[in-house]
Amino acid sequence: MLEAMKFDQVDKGYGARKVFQNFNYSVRPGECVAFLGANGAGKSTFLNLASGLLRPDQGTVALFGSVAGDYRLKSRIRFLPQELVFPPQLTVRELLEIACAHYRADWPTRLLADTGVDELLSRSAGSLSGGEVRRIGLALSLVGDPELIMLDEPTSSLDLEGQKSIQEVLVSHLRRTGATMIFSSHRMAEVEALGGRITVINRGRVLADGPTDSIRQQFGMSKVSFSHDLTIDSLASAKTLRKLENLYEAIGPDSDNLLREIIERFPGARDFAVQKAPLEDVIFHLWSKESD
Amino acid sequence: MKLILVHTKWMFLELWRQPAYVVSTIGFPALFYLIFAVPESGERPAANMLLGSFAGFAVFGVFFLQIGVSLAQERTRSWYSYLRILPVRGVQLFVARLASASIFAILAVVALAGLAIWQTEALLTHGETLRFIFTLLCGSFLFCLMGLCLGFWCTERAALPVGNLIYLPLSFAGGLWKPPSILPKAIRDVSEFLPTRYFGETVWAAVRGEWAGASAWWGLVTYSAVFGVVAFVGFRRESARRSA
Repeated sequence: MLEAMKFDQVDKGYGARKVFQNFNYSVRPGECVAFLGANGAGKSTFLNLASGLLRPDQGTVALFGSVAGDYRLKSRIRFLPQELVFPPQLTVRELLEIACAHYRADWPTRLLADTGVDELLSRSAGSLSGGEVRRIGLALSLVGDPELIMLDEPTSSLDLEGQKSIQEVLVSHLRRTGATMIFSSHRMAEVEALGGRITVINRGRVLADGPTDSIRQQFGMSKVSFSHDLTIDSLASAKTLRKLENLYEAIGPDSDNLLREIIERFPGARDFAVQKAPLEDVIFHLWSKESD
Repeated sequence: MKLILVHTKWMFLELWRQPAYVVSTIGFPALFYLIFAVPESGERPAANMLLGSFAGFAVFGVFFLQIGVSLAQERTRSWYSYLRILPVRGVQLFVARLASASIFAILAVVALAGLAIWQTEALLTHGETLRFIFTLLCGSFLFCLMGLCLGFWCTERAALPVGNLIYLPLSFAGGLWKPPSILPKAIRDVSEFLPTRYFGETVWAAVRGEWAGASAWWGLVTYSAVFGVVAFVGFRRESARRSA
């Protein structure tokens, strides 16, 4: 089957700084991929290359078998950049009319209601808040049912309620259309809600790639919480040790080892709880490992 | 065609809703015409010449500044990155940009013509009108190329001040405000070699019902070629920079 997206031996740099070197990556049609990385990891460069806004220095980026940026692809893809500032003199209705005209799409009444944009139609773009701009950007990204949706931090500037409602809109859109979606994010709750597949990158290298559960298992981390009245600075079997008053959270690859060390070294420890480490901790561990 | 109309509409509305832009492109030429030209318009030939000069001044401003400044803005504004993702070709966006500039140019010239008919003896025959429109179109082409140079070679911040530093002195020295014969000698000597002067010569001849001499047309062609090359080099540089 033709890949929805394929990076083939891609090099990309800005002057002397190389973001990607010999980068290979592909996404199958219908996949929903969360692209994760610390600031400067190359997430936005990746999406800009995929959308055709940037060209690789070497190698090829292809979408559905055609070179990214090809005019014929444009009606099939959407890209929401991290920052989108609309001409302040235009109304929201006019912005949507512009988008609809390009995709021969009917007026997206339901989409506008779902995203909450229907209440903003008569407002001028210059009077919108950051969250409202993001909602409109998302509506523009879904108009006309694209086959490939690329979103750079789709819910940034949204409050918790807004994030949740937009995640619901995206999930239901993907279910209905079967579209492929790739999004970058720093919010693990969003990644867990949306992402079937997670790709973690750092300095242009893929550190981990696969379904969310498989990433957890592959880089499986356990979290052991316990209380202790003494100050504990470190645990040999823990990758991370956090302290909140007299409550500790130790995160490491093996919960048995963690428990054994805690009990042996700190007999006064109590209130134990063992659970799988949250995705955030797994990702953080991957980044720290790479930085070391 | 539909997409060109869609983009022409928003590009026009974006500017139309900015009072500062409307005043500077349509209001100022009309105001300057009322202040400087109407009191000195005199008989019909002189009044026609002044109408031609100020119409040229208005067309110069619209095409040079609107094309130049908006092109410079495209480099930094995320809205234009969004437009590049849409299924619309760059040439369609450029035609829309030209069309929206043309609407402003037409409005500015119509406002001047209305004032001229109302306040002066100016009146053009059909033949003079057709020649007049033709020369304005030729000038628009040249000024559009100048605008492309401005847009490709200036930053967003610099485009408007640099544009005004070129637009106002070139208009004055080219004789679009005052007849070249009454300009100071030093400026008069330079004036003969300016693009606005060559353009002015073609417009003044047109409102007299004549065609300008070959030197004026060659001047326009030469300047168009020079600005065309500079704009093309700027375009190549910008294309390479955008995708880098």
